[in-house]
Amino acid sequence: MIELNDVCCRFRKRKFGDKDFVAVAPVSLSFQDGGRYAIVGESGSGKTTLARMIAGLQFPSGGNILVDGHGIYKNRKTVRGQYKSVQLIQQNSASALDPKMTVGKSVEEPLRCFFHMEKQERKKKCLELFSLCNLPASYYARLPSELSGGEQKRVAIARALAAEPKCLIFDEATNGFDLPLRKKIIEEIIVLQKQLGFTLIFITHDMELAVVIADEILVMKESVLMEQVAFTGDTTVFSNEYSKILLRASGLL
Amino acid sequence: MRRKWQIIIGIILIAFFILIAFAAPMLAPNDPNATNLAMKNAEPSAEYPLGCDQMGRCELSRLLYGARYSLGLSIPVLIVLAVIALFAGSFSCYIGGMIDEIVRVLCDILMAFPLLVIAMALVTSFENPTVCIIVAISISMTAWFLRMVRSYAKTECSKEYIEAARISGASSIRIVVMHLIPNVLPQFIVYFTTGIASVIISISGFAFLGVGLVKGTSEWGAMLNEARNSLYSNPNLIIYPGICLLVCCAGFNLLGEGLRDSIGKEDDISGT
Repeated sequence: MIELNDVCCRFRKRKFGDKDFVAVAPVSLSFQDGGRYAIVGESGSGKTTLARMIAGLQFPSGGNILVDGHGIYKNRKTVRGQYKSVQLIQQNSASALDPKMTVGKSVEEPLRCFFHMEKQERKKKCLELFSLCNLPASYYARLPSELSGGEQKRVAIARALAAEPKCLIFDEATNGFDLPLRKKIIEEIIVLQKQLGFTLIFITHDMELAVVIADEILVMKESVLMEQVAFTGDTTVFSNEYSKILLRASGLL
Repeated sequence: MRRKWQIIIGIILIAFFILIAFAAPMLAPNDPNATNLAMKNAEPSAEYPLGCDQMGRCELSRLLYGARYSLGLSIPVLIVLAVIALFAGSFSCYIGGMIDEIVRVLCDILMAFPLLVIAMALVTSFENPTVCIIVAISISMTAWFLRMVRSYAKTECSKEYIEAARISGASSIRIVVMHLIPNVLPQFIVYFTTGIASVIISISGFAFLGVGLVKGTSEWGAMLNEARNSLYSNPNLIIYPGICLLVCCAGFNLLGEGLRDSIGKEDDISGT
């Protein structure tokens, strides 16, 4: 279980006298193991910062984050442990893969760094992950630039799964994809989640995707968490005005 | 690859001069330092294919041995400097903070001094002129190399794959060696090849001005300097080393420019 207690994030302004920029206002929430969560909000509402704090990439300005009761920002070792247990899949998968490294090597990186596997074992595991993510084994020796956007995203997912994480955060996973591909990727993510049972946190600005994928939806606006509802298919559970605006924008209300 | 011919010509020229530098003892018809005053400013002959200089030394042999100084000093020194700069620059850039700031300030300070000033200041403190030149080049070129590496590494560090590698559990050293350096290397190689050309010119420039290398060395710049006295009586003595210097530097610059254009194009394609 991931717990956030009064976690907030402020960025210091460059100019003297300016007020700090609040990216995430103090927020307390918890993510149960195996749950499917969606964080919905407009651009700049602090979704990504919140996700980065959970993934161990952004030091919170206040509050603490506990995973199974242990704080993650204690020291470098605990932060590194957090990298393993929470994997973040970045927005832009084209730049999330090293352009000079074959995709096979990229996927093997967590196997090498977290599990210290031997070369043969690594390759075997890597090909298993490839088939899990619907990638042909022949892509092993290809460079990211030779793959399409959807394939690059699948490689990024395979790499994240290689760390055997307890929680997977998708940051705008389907941005820039056409509708059929978007649908396909979402379906694949749901299948993977059911198969492997990790906690899924899906960040999106699209309410339509959120209601498809999640059983708990968090709505953020201007760095404040507006609402957290358990969603079972009934849109009347949303009480906040802003949530309703988002629902209406997606034609769900 | 419209610039392919540039790369090919560059490589041919460089290979030609490297070959000359290595095979100088076999190719040279005479001892480059043996003086024969009877043959002062002699015309080309079977024994002396390009004639003799004002001291009666074989011009061709001196040109061949001259390649050793230009290439033999610049290439090995620059390779060592480039490797150091590549690691130090990308590492400091990745670590950031205080270390990066110190490296940046250090580069700025060193770059404030022109190479010639450093060489002139050092020439009195070293007995061996070659060591003096190597140290002067090291001081000034390291600063330039570090600066280039840092600027390339800075843009790479901000890309998402560096962070992705960090989430994948890679250590700082692994990120720098496996991710940062391979991505910085192509642009840096371009800078490195053109750097060799400028160092060759600098070495010859020192010799021409009499800084460093002993008078009478069979180095192209030194030969130009000595030939100044016989500019009207024997202009060939200026033309031959001048051409060598020009063609040799042109080789490195052509290679550098060709590489820059082809690598730039590759980046354009993968960037879209």
